[in-house]
Amino acid sequence: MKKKTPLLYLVDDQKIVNFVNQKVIESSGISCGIKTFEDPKQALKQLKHHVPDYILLDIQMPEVDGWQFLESLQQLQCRSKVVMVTSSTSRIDRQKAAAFSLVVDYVVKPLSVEQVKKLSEQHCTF
Amino acid sequence: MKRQSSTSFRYEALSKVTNKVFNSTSLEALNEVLAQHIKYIFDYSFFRIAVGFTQPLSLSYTKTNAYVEQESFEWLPHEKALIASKIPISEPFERSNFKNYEIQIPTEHATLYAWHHEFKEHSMCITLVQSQNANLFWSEADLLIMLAEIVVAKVSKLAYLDLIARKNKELRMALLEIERQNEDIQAIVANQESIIEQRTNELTKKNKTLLEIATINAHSLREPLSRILGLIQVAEGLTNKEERDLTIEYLKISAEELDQRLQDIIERSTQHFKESLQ
Repeated sequence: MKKKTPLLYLVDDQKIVNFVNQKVIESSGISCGIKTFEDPKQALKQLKHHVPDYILLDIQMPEVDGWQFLESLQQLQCRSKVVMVTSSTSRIDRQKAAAFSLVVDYVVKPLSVEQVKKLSEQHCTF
Repeated sequence: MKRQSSTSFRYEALSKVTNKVFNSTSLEALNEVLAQHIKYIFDYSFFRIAVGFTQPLSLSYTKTNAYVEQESFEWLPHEKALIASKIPISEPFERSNFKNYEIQIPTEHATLYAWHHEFKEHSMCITLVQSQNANLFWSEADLLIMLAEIVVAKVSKLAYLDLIARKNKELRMALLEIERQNEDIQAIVANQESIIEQRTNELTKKNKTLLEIATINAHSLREPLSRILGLIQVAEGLTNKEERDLTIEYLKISAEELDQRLQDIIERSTQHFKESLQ
């Protein structure tokens, strides 16, 4: 029996980043559904109806930043796996992300096709 | 025989006085000893020891009074003559030369005896006035000189002790002054150290702030740069014209944003540099 196509949320306030990440994932040949959100609050709202398998999450965003987003996910008892995709190379941010059980990986932008393939091999069970 | 026993009695009295003189710790005490005891050594109506120290001094005794003169000291006329000639004097007593002293003489006439003696390069005059019925044996002049020498030696010693005490006091004051200045210096040093510490703290804080600014700047620059790098990566695989045009548009936006952030940083850094120079 064929497994269900996984669903991915791309959450980044920068439209361009979401565009790049979407194209990179498409280029990697992985079959999945992708939804992009420039407003994290919209993503949280949507999440209640369609729980994604994976969330690619930026850290620095206005209004709701990556950390607040992760706390909201915990409160909602969401079981999506989160990959932080950020331009921050800070060791502190990396450690902070590791403290959240939902976070499975931390990628420094730009996301590359090779990284997507590697993430898929490491974390995807489908 | 009588003379012999009288002499030995006098020497015994002298010995007693000498002891008391040695034990005196001040000029006042010394004066008191002499005023009380000289009469046991020899008979006198007036007895005086004058010595030409840097600050000349005289100790004079009548039957009833004692005179210690330092500031008010003056050589008596017969003493001046004695210092000049150094020949012992034995002459009739002239009261007019001793106006400052209450000399009581039981008889009509009296004799003035005076000797000159050197004490450590200082002239010393010993004067004795005796009434006619008193007997002074010339052989006992030695005894008088001996007493005078003992007294003057003591006076000299007391003067040195006084000088030492004064010098000691001056040294103590100087030491206190040095200690006080030392405290001042230590306070200045402590103040300097505190200023240096404060400056160091300020600099450390400033350095930390600068490092934080540099980190924020680096992050702020990385954001559009990472977008550009991603777009370049994506552009290579795009075949759709619309998407390629969009990518170029996005590249332009991101490059402009990067340029803007760089310009902001340069402007802020220049401003900061100018302020730090003022």
